[in-house]
Amino acid sequence: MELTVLNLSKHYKDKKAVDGVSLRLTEGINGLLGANGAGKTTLMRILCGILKPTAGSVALDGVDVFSEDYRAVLGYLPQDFGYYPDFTGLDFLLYLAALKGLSRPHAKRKSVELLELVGLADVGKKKIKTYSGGMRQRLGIAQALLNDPRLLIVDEPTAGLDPKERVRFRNLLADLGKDTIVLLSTHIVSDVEHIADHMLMMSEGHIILDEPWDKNRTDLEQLYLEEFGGEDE
Amino acid sequence: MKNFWTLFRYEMRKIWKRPLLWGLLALLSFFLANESKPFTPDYPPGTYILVEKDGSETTRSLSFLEVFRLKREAAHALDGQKMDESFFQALRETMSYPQMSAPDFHIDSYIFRGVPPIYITLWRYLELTPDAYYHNNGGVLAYLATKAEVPDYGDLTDEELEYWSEMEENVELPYTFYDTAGMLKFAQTIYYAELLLPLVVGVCLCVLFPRDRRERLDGVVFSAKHGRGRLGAVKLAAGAVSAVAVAAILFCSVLGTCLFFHGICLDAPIQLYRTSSFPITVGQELLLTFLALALYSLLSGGLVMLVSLVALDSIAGLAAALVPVLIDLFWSGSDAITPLRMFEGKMFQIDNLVKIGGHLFNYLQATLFVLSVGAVLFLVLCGLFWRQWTVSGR
Amino acid sequence: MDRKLKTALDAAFEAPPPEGKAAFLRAHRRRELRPAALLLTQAGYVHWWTWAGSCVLFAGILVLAAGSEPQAVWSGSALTPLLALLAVAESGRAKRYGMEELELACRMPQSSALLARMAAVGLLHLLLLGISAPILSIWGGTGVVQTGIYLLTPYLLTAAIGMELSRRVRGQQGLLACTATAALVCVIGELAQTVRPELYLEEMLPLWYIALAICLAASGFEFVRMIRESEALQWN
Repeated sequence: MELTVLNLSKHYKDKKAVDGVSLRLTEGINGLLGANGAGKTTLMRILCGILKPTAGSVALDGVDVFSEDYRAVLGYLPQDFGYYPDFTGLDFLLYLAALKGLSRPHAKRKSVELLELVGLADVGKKKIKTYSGGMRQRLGIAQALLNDPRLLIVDEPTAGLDPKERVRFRNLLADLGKDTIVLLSTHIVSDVEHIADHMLMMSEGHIILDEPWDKNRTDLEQLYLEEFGGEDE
Repeated sequence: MKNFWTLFRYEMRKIWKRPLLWGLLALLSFFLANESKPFTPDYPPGTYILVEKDGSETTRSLSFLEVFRLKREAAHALDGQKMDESFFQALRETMSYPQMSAPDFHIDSYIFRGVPPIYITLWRYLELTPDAYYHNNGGVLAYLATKAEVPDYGDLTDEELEYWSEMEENVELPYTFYDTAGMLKFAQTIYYAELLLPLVVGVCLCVLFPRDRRERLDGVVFSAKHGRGRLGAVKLAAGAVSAVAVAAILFCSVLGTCLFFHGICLDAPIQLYRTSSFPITVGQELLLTFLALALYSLLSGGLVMLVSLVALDSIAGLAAALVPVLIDLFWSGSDAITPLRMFEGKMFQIDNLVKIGGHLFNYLQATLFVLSVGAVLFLVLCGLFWRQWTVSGR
Repeated sequence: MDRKLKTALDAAFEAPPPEGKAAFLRAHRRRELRPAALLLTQAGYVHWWTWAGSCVLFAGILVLAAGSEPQAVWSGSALTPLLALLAVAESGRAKRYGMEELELACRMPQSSALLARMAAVGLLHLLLLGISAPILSIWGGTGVVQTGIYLLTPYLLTAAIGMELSRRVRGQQGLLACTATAALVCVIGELAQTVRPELYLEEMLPLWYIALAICLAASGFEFVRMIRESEALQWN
């Protein structure tokens, strides 16, 4: 399975949010690092088919990003997302499952399973407005996994999670990465350092690093600072 | 204290720096100004035969504005004259029966012979004597005269008639004539302003309280030194001032247009255009109308702020603002005491009185009282709810 | 199989752990989304107060019209902008609650989901207005077609302006602007009876036909635009 990105660009008047990005991603964890405003979120939104690029193409095993077949195998967790206040956690998952084309019985089974997986089984029938920030984030992770995605794009997934949950999520991603293309954008180096198979770094709309990553390496932060010209400590 | 005014300025900025509010105010001000200006078909441009005071005739082509200016000059030609026998004598000698279908004759007889278009009905133009005029235009007398012809008209008791008669004794006779086209137009249009006022106040104030919560700033704001007690007072003050400002803008749209196009004489007695016993002038009526409008605006604003604070939802606040509008629109019973009926002129007319504790109160007093109490009540409830919400727990 | 036998077998033997379950499910779980099923599913997700509000307004139209004969149709038509507001508010719900991004990334195109929801709400409103028109025409003494025009025109005008405002003004402010528009059209519609009564004469009917055509075209245009723009984020 391969995600092919060819010469992707997104321009706004005089600002180039993404500029001529080309990638080939395969199964495994692909970490995406970059400073604020580098274009990571824009890139991810284009890869999810929710933002139209100015130029370039995206395809998953030849299936174009704007087709239904592409979205059928996509799971996406945005950096910031809302919720309908009167929905319970379970309602939220069932609703998105319906949008993902799951049948009702399957959606129910999967929703219960995922609530258990993310540790929200006890509060699944409570309204989302009563959830803490971390609980909402876990719910977001759950919805991204509803349709057993083959391409999982997660933007800052561990924001708001406590260290224990963060470890749990890392392990979950590592497990998923065996047969899924996972693109993980984060500022927390430790989230990606020991599970990534491939590392990408982005700056000012360009990919400045695109290489396989050895999970035994521990110098990711130093590498990041070198690439982005960090201050001497 | 210094902080109060700084916070007040910021709250006012948050209320007023919204294109939606300005767009709505501009649209409604335009609508009210359009309704206040003269009815164009009354001043058709064309060729006119103008008769000068010395009797000579000239033929001239006049535009709408020229026709309007000439008519307005004629309308105000007799301003300031006492409406005594000599006044009516002059009218009887120079007034011709208006042929509305012949514009040249209309201007001919109305303008350059110095005859003003005072508002008398067709069958009354023959009764141009002081007795006939005061009989039909005075307050209590006119009421009794109409009652004699139409037995079902009105239902004032003897006590109420005595009340109005006593009040009327303070009205100066004979009246001093002033053209009242401007005031008639004002009275007709101000009721549209009253009808639309809660809607504008709703748009203005519905975001005042919910906005901090919606933009996730409530944590930051409430943890600040003045973020609870003082901020509540500032928001209420800003809301109240904004409500009155909205009323002032709409009021001035109507008044300004009437002043410009028709002219309004502030010293004119209101009896020239109302069946009223109030011994007040046009200027005093305008002040009282603005006071009522401002109080109604405060009441609407208080309701909007209270509902939006309780629900923490600006749409709920706006929906609350629609309640008085819908009541005004659809409660059409003739005895309905709604703000609309008050602004239609019930406040200043001879009408039933309210008896409380053995004392009689007229609708003007009742209106101002009810609006004041309502406004204060809603504002106090807002303050209490804010205190309860921010101080004792959310 | 006999249920008792099945239960006994379940209790006696333990099923072996599944092998290749995920791959099997992936290969066989994709189901086609039929339009009727889509409509029904999405209709279920339309917020309950859109349905309740529509019914309450419908009742309100009939009550007001009954109390204002022979001006039944004018009083009734003054409430149709609020009906349009419910539809416009429903169309912008995902955007208002920050669910847009999540819904866009799902298999079902958001445009389809939105179209299905709007179709459900639109059908209900058409039904309600279709029931109101003959009733109001009997009370008000106007023809059914004429009544229908007086009911539809403010509805479509509010819908067109509301959809445009929803597009331009984001978040809660957008809904506020739509609510203010609906209230304004409602008030102006009611005021027009006294301010411009000549508008409701028989001779003015051709103008109403033109107004209806313009409002219908504008609403249609705005609706198509709204559906098209729901295919991707319009801002980043």
